[in-house]
Amino acid sequence: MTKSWMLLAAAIFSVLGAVAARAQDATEFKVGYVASITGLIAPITKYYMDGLDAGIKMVNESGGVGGLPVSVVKCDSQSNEAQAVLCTKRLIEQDKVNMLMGVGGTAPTVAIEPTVQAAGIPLFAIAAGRISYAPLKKWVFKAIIGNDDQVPTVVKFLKKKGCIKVALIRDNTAFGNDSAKSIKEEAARDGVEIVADEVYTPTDTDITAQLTRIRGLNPQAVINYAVGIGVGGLISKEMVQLGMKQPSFVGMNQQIVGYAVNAGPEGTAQTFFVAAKVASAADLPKDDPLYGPISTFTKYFKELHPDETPNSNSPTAVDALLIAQAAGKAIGKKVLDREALRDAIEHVTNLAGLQGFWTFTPEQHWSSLEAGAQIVTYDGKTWAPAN
Amino acid sequence: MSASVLAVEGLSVNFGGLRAVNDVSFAIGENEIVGLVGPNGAGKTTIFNAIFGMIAPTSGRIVFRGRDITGLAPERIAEAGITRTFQNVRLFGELSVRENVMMGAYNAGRCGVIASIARVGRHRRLEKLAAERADRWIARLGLSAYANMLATGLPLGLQRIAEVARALAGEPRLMLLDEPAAGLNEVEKRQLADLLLAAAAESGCALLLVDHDMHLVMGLVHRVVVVDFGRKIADDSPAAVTRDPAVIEAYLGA
Amino acid sequence: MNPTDLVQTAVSGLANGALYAFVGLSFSLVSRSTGLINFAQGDLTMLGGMLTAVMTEATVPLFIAVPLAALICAAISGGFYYFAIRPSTRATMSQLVIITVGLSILIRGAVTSIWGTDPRQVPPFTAGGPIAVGGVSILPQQLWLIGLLAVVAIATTWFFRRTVLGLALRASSGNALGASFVGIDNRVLGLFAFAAAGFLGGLVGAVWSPIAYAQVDIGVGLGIKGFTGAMLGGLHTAYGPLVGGVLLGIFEAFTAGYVSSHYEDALIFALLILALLLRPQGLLGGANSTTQDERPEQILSTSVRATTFGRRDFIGIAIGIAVLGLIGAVLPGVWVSNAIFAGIEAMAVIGLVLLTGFAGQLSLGQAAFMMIGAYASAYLTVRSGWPPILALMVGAALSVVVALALGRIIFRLRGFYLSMASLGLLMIALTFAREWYGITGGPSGFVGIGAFSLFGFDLGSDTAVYYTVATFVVISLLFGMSIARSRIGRALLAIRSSESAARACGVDVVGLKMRIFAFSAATASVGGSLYGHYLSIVNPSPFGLDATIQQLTAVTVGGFLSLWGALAGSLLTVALPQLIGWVSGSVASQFIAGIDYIIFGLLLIGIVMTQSNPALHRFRMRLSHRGTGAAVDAKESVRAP
Repeated sequence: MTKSWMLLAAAIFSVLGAVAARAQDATEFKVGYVASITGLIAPITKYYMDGLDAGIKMVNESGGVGGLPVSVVKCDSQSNEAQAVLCTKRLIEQDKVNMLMGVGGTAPTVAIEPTVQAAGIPLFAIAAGRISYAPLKKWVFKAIIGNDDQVPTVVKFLKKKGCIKVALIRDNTAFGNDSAKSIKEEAARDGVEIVADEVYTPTDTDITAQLTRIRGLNPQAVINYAVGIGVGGLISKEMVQLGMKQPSFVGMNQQIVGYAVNAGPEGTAQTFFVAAKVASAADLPKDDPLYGPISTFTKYFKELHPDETPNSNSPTAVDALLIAQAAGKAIGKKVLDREALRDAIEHVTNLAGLQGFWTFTPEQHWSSLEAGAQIVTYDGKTWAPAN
Repeated sequence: MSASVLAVEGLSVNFGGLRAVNDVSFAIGENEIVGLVGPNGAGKTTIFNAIFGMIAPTSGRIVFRGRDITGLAPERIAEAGITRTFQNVRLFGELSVRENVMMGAYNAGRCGVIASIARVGRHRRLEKLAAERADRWIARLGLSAYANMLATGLPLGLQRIAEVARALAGEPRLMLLDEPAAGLNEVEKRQLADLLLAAAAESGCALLLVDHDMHLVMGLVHRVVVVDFGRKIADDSPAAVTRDPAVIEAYLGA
Repeated sequence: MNPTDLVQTAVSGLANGALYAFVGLSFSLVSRSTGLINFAQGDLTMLGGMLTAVMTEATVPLFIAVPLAALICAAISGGFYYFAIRPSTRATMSQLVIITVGLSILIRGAVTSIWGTDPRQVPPFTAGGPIAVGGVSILPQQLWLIGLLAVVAIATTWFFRRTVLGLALRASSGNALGASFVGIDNRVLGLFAFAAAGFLGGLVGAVWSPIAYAQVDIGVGLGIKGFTGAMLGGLHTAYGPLVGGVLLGIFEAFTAGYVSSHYEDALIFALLILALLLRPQGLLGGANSTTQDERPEQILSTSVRATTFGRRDFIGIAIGIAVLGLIGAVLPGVWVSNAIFAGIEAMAVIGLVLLTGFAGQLSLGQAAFMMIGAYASAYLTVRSGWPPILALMVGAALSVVVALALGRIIFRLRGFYLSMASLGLLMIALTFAREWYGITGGPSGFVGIGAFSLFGFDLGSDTAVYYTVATFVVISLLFGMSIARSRIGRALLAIRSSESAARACGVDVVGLKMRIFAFSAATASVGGSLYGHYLSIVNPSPFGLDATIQQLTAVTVGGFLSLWGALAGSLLTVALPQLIGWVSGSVASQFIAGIDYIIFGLLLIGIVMTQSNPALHRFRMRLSHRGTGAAVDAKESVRAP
């Protein structure tokens, strides 16, 4: 009995060991994408992927990275930290990628960072939590509009509109927790009062009890931060059901058509979304500093997905490529050398990306993208900036 | 009473409103073989389970070799020196016959998880003891050919004998046998009866057995305790009990 | 406390309660008829909603889609009974629970592959917004749900009390053998019960999901809550699941609305555990109406167990250690990493082999001990600067204490009730890990945990971690083998077969279960500590139900009684997603991701089936006669089929 198990284990390992390492192709720039294709973050990952397709085309048809064509290798981390680490190692060792991006959630991103640091390969952190890119880590760079950019946008907007008594409802994941913390800090800075902090599980199917409690407190607005799309939209729907007329404010990850499907037309009409400028590309004035890249990207996106418009999640995985491209302009084919690539990224200054302006320095691997964030509303057809 | 191995005193067991056992008293002496009989539902199994600590008596006492064992947990009672067989043979299916009988000797001493990991001297001694007892009783009861077979692969008759061997391996002073002959044919019953007599004599333990086969019981026991509707109605030699009018009425009457 | 809000909360609770009542009714239907608990019941409900959504998107009219969805669920449930459960006549309750877990995974994998993980909307029966009555609002669809529940409740009561089939079902649940004597074929009944429960599940899924949404992951939670409600009211009573489900819905709503939405989950599970411990027959059940079925035994052993370490064993162990050592030196980095995670999981699974395999106690809470170890190590090394080895030992000691304390309580339960109680404890532990911000760092937990080090030697590289983990695994394995081959091992197997007979031999059954539980807690805790050091972060997310199911799969694949097998099983569960990902190349997609769930589900079902099949059982019997030369006819004893 023992023997057969040893044989089985040996067989598994032979297969693993016999996996041929993919040869390093010096004729292309390989990007490894550790993605959460299943699990909690899955619905949004789909939009990351759609945008990524357009982004790859956009980059390749404008000179690639360091003159080399870009290809992306994906690995599904299943929203699981251990699998994220295994994916990362596989991409580094077997696929021999030149650069990494991922993972979609803050915790798995932090989980792969030791591996990235040990292997010495640049990582663009696709995670909203500040802790994924700060304090400074040699090989890790901010890649998306994070909580630090989103939250001030929301809270300042609320203040501007005179909503100073606001209720908060969010899920009990790390994302919900971190968002709550950021929101409360920003609210304290801006003089907005958070009157409630209600919580639910991402797979909950009824939040009316918590909402009833909030209704009783009579806030002027409700901030709703959820990882899950289903429950995010559901909350809006239930607010309508309970006769709550307050506007609700949701995070960038919810700025997708799926939200409107789940929230229903009335719920959507009452919702304000944090969004990237990409979301309202049609309304973007030609003199907007980000007009160039956004309109180019939108063109490619429409070629590949004629029936969809890009949303805030579409550019998420693309700016990393644009940054790499900018770095490649300085050093050419040396982008295949990880150290050289890293140094070059660190000298990218004021690059107009899809989510904002990117400036890196050797002391700071992030910059504020608050300028790239805005508040939008949805009327069922178009996303328009709110005033 | 001083010579009695087991003394049941005023045992009553109520289930909700039902008095399953009503003020039953009897005693079993050293080396005695006592039969507990009665019509179905008379309370025999309940008495068994009460003695063996599987249910708590409502009132009354059970004294074993001078020690009050009323309400003790079954494993403590096994340690004290009472073992039993079950109506629906409960051999350990994952273990061989030999291992089953070795389990009978589990009560010989305490040896916990940590001691077993370390395989200290105590563990080795207990294992040796269990092996010796198992081998002895297996040989004595004619099971040597089956010792290394998975216990439940045996035909029923042999399984019952194996269960008896397991009970004997505990070196009990009293063995409770719950319908040991159920499901056996005449030949097997004869064999079992002979084995029981011989084993009891050899190990010097007393037996209390419940069975429906009157012929078997009467031929085997020194004394018979008859219960009906939870009450004891007779407590005498087999010959006397078969002539007792109360007994006859209980079995044949309305 | 605004009266309008009170009423609103109650109304919401009632609507949810109707949902739980439905699910609980399905559990009850199956349990009363066959004595089984179908872990996949919640997923069948999810499937009903999903199928309806998909069909209406393909413009199938609602009045066709809903019954069709229900029928498909009925077919899946009934088919599952017919092909997987019915032939497994010799499976124990734990085995059957595992088979249904396999079905749950299989359904979720299939849904993921075919339709993805996006939530979908289902159209309601009647259009129109919420109905507001003086500030209290209710959706028309919620009224439909409650109405349907009333109809179904009346129908099932009538069915169980007045129809021959219903009476037959109740009869056979109490005494299968007796029922067959009266001409009731309980396999047909089982089929009917499962199909009916599937139909109900699919139906309620279709009726309820317009209220919320349909999405692949919502089924498990529904199943757990439906079961809890049924237990509270009385699983085997006519109205118990209804009353219990509704009460649970209302309790949940009021806890979330008026106590704390943060602890809502924990309170519900605490309620479940209390119900299981104090009143397993539920509110409406009579004193003796709990039926914990005695099923005929299944034999897993193929041969007599060794009781000592012989020379062959030492050679085998040496070979094993050599192979483990070689792996660390020879394999490329990423597969060493796989081996590390596999080794960590193996630490948890080794204990499970003894607890679940040998002793037959299906505990679903093992991940909680990994969590204790992980957090203890994280806290003590990060906040207090302790050396990692000390922190690891403290974690293990803490886990042992917790295991002994809780074990004394929960090991009074058996079978599925034990499993649910242990699952409840895990969920409560997760809630505390999430909410005790000061101690555990909340949902984000700890970051920046240093590498494991021993006497100043930093063991941070993958190879070093591998050998550290391998060392602990080997030690645990040796301890486990020593237990398995001792009188304790024999006693554990005895407990599996018959607890009463084990007690009759002098085994302190509850005490022994507790101690093996503590052993498994210790090894799991060490695994958790090493996990924290390796990953450098610790948070609650790796320690949930998914982890538990992964461990169960490892134990099952390993054959339940084999410790080395558990190692191989752990490796499989860790490496399979990576292997599939590698094979499918860069085409990482939801279709592929669903596939490893499908494979695991099929593995669980298939392995338990092959172990429980009577033909194979007889084959095993014959195996054991080899070498004795006895021409014994292996007649089966007279027992229930």
